[in-house]
Amino acid sequence: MERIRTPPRPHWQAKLDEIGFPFHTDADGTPYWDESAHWRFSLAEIETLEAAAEEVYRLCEEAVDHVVARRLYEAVGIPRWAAPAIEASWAGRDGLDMALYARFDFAWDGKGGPPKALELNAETPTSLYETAVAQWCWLQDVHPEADQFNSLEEALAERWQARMRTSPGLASRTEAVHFTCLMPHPEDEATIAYLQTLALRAGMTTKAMPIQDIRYDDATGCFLDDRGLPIRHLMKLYPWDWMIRETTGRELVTAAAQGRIRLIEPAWKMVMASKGLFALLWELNPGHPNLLPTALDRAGFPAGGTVVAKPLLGREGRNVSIATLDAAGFPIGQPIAETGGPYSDDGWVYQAFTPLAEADGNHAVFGVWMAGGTPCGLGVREDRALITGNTSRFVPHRIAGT
Amino acid sequence: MKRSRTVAALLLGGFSPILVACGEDGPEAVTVYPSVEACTAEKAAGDCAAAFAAARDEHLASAPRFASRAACEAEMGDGACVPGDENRGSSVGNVFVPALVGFMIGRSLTGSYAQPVYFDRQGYARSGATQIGRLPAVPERKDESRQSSGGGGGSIGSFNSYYRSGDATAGKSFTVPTAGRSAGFGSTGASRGFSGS
Repeated sequence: MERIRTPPRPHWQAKLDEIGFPFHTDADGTPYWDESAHWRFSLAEIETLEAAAEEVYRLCEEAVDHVVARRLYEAVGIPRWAAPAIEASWAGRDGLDMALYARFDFAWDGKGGPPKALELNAETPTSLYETAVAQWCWLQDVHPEADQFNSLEEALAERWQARMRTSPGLASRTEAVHFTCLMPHPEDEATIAYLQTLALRAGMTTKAMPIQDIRYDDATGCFLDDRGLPIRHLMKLYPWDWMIRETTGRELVTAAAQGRIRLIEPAWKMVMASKGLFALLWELNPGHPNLLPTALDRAGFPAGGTVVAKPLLGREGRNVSIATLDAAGFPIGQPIAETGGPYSDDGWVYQAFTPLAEADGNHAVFGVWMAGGTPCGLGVREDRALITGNTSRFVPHRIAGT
Repeated sequence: MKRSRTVAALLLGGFSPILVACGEDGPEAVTVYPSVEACTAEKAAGDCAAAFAAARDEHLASAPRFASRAACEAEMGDGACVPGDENRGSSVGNVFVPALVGFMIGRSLTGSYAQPVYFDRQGYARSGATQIGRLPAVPERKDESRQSSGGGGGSIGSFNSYYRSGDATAGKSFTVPTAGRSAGFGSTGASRGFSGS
């Protein structure tokens, strides 16, 4: 792999605006989409990432099964009363409660060792449109002859078709899929509009609406849309662990457990999305080459080791710190790096530090996209800092031999 | 090959479902607008006509058909339907179909594709490739109803206008049942900001 500096396309901002991606520049004027460089991978490297993602996803499914079978919900930061929805959806995971998508974050420098999975963003993964469309168009403009690890759109379209096949209501268009997120929120709205586009192409009846406008009818136990129609299938770009703690969260758990509403992602994704799952993964698969030592207790790491602390239910790289620990598990001196944020209440998970790919002072995380259990794309995020956050730059990639 | 053969691109700030092709390196890469007039303001008239023709052909071949205007409007909204045989060259016959209000066009490695989209009375976006089924009826709760102007909140230049009903119900009043209570979702995200990971 190699980071190659490249002149940006002339009028690259306008080109991104044109394809519906005006989010290329942050509010402070720094680019979020960064085509002043790209990453070149060999096909063998891409296949290594692909195989690692497929393998670790399988292990994640086993770990979810372990949590559900033993009801270890509290260990992954989930309240026990959410169990009925999780268990019903896990039982239906090969049918209507199938997964749509997820994104791994891998650390890998390509210098002989295997890729290491840092986490799995299993419920509300970001950078979908950048990966599936913006970098596809970049490649088509700049290297039309080259390939890219990016069949994400086709794979997601196939997932919508698979969902239709499992649901007579969707297949006959007597039921619709509602798409929701916080509104106004231009970037999230664009993401759900893209997912809605793919569902429309699959032939589904769809509707977008603000999550704030969803209603609940106590008489029927159904959630209703802004016209008073029952919501049977709800694609939400909003975390389960927030919804269940909001006004009708317990009603949502019951309605999902009883099949009155199907959510995308399904409730079992709450377990898969918890960062605590990676502690269980290490416990169940100690020494696995694609995993890092991870624990809920920081005393288990060797003295002098560098460890990353993350909130169990954290997002966007917030409230993450990196420090060297002494024999008792306490930080030695100041943290090497840390970020602030609102996620300090729900427990922590500790993971051995591993370096990211680094070039020209940029640290790169490799985001491998999953459609169901199948790896189908790559999005590279870069930052000058060691911790990747929501302002880390998206850098396109291509596949080419050395 | 490890890349998709096609991608669909979104045009932000547009009115209802308008998608554009990316790049400008081929004759198939046509930007699509909600009307021929809007398109020809920026593009060659011939390109606009070709794009609309492709979507219209698909629409005529696959649009849901209704035996009467009343039956069509009952499903699609007041004023949302046109006679199928008004369209020259159509094989739809003596029926009513919803008016085309927009369409998707995406870019592929070899060209482009177009697919019509329209909205029904309830604000559902449907693609034109399939027969429409019956949706559950709106519960009758007239005693608690309130009036609201149509359009589902979609407005030109607004980001929340994606796939929400536009022309079909614009300017019309409809009854919004107020069954149930607010579910209260969104409060955590509103206080914390963004929700992705």
